[in-house]
Amino acid sequence: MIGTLSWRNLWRNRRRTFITVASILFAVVFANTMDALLVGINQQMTDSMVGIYSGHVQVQQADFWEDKSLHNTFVPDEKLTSYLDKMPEVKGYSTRLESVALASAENLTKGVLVVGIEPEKEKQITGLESKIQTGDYFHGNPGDAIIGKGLAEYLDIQPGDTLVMLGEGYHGASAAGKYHICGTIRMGSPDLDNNLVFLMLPEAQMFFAAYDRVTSMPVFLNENVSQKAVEAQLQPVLPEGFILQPWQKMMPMVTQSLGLVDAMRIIVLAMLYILISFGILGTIIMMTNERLRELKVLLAVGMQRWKMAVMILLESVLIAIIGAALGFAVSYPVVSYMNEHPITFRGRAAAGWESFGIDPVMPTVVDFGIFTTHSLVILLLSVLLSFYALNKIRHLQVVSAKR
Amino acid sequence: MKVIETINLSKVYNPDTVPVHALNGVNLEIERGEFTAIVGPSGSGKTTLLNIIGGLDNATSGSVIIEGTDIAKLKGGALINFRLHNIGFVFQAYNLIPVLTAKENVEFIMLLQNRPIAEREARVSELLKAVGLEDKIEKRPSELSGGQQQRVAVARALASKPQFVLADEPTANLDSKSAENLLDIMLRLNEEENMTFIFSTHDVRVIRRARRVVTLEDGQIVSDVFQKKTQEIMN
Ligand SMILES: Nc1ncnc2c1ncn2[C@@H]1O[C@H](COP(=O)(O)OP(=O)(O)OP(=O)(O)O)[C@@H](O)[C@H]1O
Ligand SMILES: [Mg+2]
Repeated sequence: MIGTLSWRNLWRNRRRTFITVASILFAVVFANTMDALLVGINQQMTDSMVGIYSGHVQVQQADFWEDKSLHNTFVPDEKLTSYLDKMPEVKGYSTRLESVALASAENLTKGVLVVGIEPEKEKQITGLESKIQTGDYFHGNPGDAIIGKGLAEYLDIQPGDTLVMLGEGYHGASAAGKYHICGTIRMGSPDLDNNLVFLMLPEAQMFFAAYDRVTSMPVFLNENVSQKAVEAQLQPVLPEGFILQPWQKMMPMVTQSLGLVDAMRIIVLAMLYILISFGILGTIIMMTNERLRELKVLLAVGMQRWKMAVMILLESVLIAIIGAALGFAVSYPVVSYMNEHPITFRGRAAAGWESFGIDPVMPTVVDFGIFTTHSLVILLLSVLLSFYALNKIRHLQVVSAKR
Repeated sequence: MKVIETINLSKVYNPDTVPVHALNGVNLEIERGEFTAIVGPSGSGKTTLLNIIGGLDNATSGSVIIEGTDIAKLKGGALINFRLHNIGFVFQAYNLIPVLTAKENVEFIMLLQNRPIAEREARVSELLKAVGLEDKIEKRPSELSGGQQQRVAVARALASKPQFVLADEPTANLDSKSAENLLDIMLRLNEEENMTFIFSTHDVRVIRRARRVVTLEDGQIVSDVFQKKTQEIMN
């Protein structure tokens, strides 16, 4: 009976119900899209930096982080690698040799980060190959190099061109090499994209005269695995003088940017929720006050207050459910569309984002968890706001003391 | 048998600011089956008296005993329940729930009483027939005339099988024909169901139909007259 009453009361003032539902719908869609976008930015940042490049933790020589010279290289420890092979939490690991060099093409020169990688392993674990922009991934051809997209633009070179590199190798040996650019790559981090040169590991070792040696072993974890737990597990297996470097420490800029995006997310959502709360509250206030007379009659003829409260509560919850459900339904195509056609900033805006280390291409994340959260928050808000009406009902008197 | 008894009932509105003495020691006894009109000039305390008898307002002093229960002793939910099971109300206007049909409005009160469906259905059609609205059962209040709405309200008041029905100026918003018609229906229900009615009014034609007329002035009963049935007067 109360259900019927509430339901019919909704349609008493169709226009108002419609406007309220529409505003909730809009708010839910907006919140979902916004959140999907910001979570997407975060995820992309972590994915491109952590999942593709740095790994979640890196095994390094203890001094490497402070002194990134080739002195702090090592030959991978057998015991450690076989242990890593057996850990179910670990998606994979690889070995890299990283150091700096000068790169030049025609008459332009730039300091670059040379990274020797194991092409097959990286491809399997991180899907590095999918980041190739132009040209090809490594196919085992000697002398091949893949360079960052930004670097390619800066040096004005493309696949097929030649890159000459000069540097200092292990034990002060001088390093020099001529490479053939087979592809350009976009890592999604402007820092990397403007400085990166990938070589195959043996060739990098040759270039730096650091035979069999590497600077780091990035370890990539499976999804939903606790990084802390893995660190704790690995610690005892580490050989003397080695450390586990977490990505948060290796990339403080990313960590900061993630925090920034998160803060932005909370502010935007809070504002949105405040706005929508006023909308819902307005409806509830009107819904209650214009019916005070009727509620007094109900109280007079013997309807208990709690039943009236349930009736009003149900009305606001029904409005919220309809709005939130429609919002949920509309969010999916909107967010999916933005996932397939990501917002791309160009020009100055792009530069602004990039200066924070954020890629100016922003795909959304299609995550039903996000949708559900916001729908539930709206629902909860409408219940909370109904307390206005419940309080009114609690103090309702058939005969008012003053008039 | 006494259904209602008021003992030295007084009511002062705004005792702390500008006190208004709306009732001054009203002693009134109503027997089962009476058909009583409360009359008197505007501001004489009719509404105040009915509200206090109906448990909608508190007396300042004195008491109201209904079927042996002092209703001042009932609090909160118990009082609401007491009203639900013992008192039928007809107000001057806005009696009905706008989103419910005539049938549902009458049934509503029995739903609150948790009456079984068979009983509800039977009683609702019986009552709507008694008030002459058997062809309007599916209509919502907005589709009914003022007089028809008041007839639904009377049907609803009776649906709960109360001890008595209180009606504060039930005909005030009706034209005289509808007013007489409503009173005739109330009279018939009074006779057929032996239902006790207490109503206030200004309307002479309504007063004429009452069996007992209690006149208030300045919050006091100044006359209490038993009249004959209209037919008896006619004869
Ligand atoms: N809620 C209230 N607050 C203050 N004074 C009130 C209140 N209700 C009634 N009064 C006063 O109490 C007195 C009796 O009012 P009441 O409404 O009972 O008269 P009534 O006989 O029903 O009048 P009417 O015929 O106009 O309906 C009047 O002087 C009125 O102004
Ligand atoms: Mg009155």
